[in-house]
Amino acid sequence: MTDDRFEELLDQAGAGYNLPPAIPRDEMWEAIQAKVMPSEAGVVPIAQQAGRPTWQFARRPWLGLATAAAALLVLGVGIGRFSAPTNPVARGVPATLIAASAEPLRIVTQEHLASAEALLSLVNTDARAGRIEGDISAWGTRLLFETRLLMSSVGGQDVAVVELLRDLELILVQVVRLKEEGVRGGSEDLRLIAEGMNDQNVMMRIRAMLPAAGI
Amino acid sequence: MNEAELVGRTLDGDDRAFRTLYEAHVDRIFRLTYRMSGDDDLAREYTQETFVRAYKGLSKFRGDAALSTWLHSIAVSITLNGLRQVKRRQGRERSLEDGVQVAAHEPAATPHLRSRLNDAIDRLPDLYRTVFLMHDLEGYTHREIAETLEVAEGTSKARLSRARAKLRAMLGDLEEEFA
Repeated sequence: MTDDRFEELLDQAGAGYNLPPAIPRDEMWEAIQAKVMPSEAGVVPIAQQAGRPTWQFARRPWLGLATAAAALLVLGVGIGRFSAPTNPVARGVPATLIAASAEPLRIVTQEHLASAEALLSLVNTDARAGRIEGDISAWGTRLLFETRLLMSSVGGQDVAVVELLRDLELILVQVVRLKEEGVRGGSEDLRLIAEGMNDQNVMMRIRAMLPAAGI
Repeated sequence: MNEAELVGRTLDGDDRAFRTLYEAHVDRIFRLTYRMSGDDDLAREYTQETFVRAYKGLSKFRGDAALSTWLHSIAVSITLNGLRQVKRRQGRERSLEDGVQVAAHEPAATPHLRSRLNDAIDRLPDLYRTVFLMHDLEGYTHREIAETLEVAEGTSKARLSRARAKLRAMLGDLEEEFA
């Protein structure tokens, strides 16, 4: 195909690609208005909470535990990466050794998911209450880092876990961005995060992967 | 009243000023989100979200770039993120179906030029597809694209060139049909 012919094809056929319809300006404006004017839409105003303390260790003792869990996670991922061969069968590694090397990764994954469950529960609670705890974004940042570490470590070993971690990553990215949105803007975003989270049954999927007695 | 004044008034709580800004930019934003998503509901959702984010973050808009550029940056980001979510969801659903339905969407089943080209555009990587849609279909300049995507103009040109090359490679077997 010559250059001219190809350009012609792009001009003729390409112009019709996803050709936009009439633009529903008024409908979209109404939806935008409902979102950006919370007092009129009946959403709980949270701007008054801007003066709340950022860190609340006293009310949230799990923050210290979360930090410790993060350190354990990094250690566990490191052990898992070091000890788990990329293709153990091809390398003739005994099955018992493979199982042994996968164990640390499984444990840290469960630790991580337990921590994620706690954060997501908080997101749900805050979304219902129309308020945001000041530390939620910082916690989300830490979990996001750990999630990505695990994603690169778990690899294709467990599709369900990888899928769950991917969904979790997306939620955490949004949680982290709450800090940028500020307290007022974050309330609506928090509600949307919670909705997306519930749509994908993330909490249920996490709980399904945790031991019945918890960690 | 210029845009800077409208932005100032919006920040002061004048919703009519924000409506004016909305009216000034909504068409291009919607067209772009529609071109990228190909779905009316998604395009509406992404457009609305763009203006909601812009409204909430307007105090952070420093005026270094045009408001239009800033809005487009938000729109492209929201749309790409949204489409990734949709693709992943669709991928999960598709994996549960049998292979017959998937095969029905193979290019070989859609011999017409437009269908083939649409399929090829759909298969472009996001980086290339976005530049291609903005430049070739919506008429944005490389400068506008570069500012929106926060890349150099040369990068925008290179991505467009790569996009076209990929399309051409994917449509290479159409030579006879097209001639």
